Amino acid sequence: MKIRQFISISIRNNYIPGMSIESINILVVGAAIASAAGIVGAFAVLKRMTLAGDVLSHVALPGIGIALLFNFSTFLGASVSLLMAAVLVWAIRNRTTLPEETIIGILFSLALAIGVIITASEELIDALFGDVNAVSFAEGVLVIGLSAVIIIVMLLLSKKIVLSTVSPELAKASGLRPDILELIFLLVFATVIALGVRFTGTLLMGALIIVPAAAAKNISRNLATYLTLSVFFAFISTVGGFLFSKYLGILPGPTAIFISTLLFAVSMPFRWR
Amino acid sequence: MEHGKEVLKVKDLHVFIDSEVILENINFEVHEGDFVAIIGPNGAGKSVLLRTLLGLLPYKGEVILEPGIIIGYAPQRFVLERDLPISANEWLQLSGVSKEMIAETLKKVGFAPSLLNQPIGILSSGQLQRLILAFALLRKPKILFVDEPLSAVDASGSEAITQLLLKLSKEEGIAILFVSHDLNLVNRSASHIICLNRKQVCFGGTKEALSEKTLKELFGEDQTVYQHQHQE
Repeated sequence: MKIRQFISISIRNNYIPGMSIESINILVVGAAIASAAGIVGAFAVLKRMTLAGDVLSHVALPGIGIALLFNFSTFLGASVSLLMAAVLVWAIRNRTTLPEETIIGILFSLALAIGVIITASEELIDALFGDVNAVSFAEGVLVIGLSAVIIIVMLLLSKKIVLSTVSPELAKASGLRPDILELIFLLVFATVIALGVRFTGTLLMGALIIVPAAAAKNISRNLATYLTLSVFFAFISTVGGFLFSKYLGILPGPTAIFISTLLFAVSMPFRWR
Repeated sequence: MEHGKEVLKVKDLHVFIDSEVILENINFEVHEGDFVAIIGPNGAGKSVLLRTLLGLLPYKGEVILEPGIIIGYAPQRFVLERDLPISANEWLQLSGVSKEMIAETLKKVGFAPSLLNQPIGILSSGQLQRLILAFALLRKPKILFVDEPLSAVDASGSEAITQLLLKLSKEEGIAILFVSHDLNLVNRSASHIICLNRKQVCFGGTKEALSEKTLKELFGEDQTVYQHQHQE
């Protein structure tokens, strides 16, 4: 029996209890985003961007607010504001001596404040915590395609990013441009957040990137294991979060964060002093 | 400084950081097989000079490297998180060279292959220093810049690394520029010395020409340099 035929019969006969074709589409798209988030998160944690990564997702809110106000795609709105924020953070960091946490603390809180002001109150909870009932074919293809591109870019740049993270001087002396790598990484990071905000909301997408990677780092002794576990933890947090949310009737984003935090708690004994 | 082909020429070098003059009017040449020590008191600009030569800092003047020359750089021991999930083997593979070249270089620097699967954050200071040096040598450089090569190494490790650097310079003709506070190391191994004293070169020449008076001027107190001869 062909796989496609089997899946369609399974769905028709309700072999996956409570799962409509729409739900399965969301699950597949969510799994693709989780895989991309897992690998990006691994490098973000390595670069000690835990706080930055967590709150960068807040910047999506004003973009979503503007998109809702002028009635265009919220994905587009979120993407534009996130990519602009990534470039802005990079430019401020490279042209001033301001500490990164100061830039992030001011810029991202401001973004959240503007987003809350311009987003209509009835849309605000969905924007903050995410909710998705269906994914169109075009959206599914776009998200899966972009997730694949992100994974490929990260794997191609992995050695360069690791070298410039551990020793920017050694990277520069080897002919690399840590500043350009930093910009590329921030743009990739912003893109992953833009892909995920519909599912987890602007408040939690950053955490879904960071927490599985932080759990993976606790138990990994080499890069290959770390990247694999980070993707795996992000994947099971997202898929598990979605399935639990379906059965329990709660929001998938917060459920995914709950599972990833549980994984982090389980990994903590590896870090006892 | 004369023997072998010239691999580096520095002419009227001036370095500013945030409009403050760090180095001014620095001139010297380095040839194949030269073992050049850069010494001077804290804040004299030793590491700044090395980083400028590597193109890491903006400067005025001329830094002329032999065209196409392969450069190796061993920075001062960098601070690593203990839980950094990168093994020694993965670190070396970042250079993109073959496994055979990695094995050959590790043998050269005396890094135990049994440590290859260890995370680099838990390596001892001496092991990490050897790993950093191995990384610098992987691409077979013709000029090697080393910043404080023995800063975190015990006595036996220090001796082994000194001998290795000497061997690289004498047998493979690698020009080595190293920053050091260790005047005994400098006295034992350097063929030439550049003394930096608050911005300017106060001395540049062979180590035999370096007088106690110059050392006193540099470091502000009497310096004892122990002569040390190796059995052939």
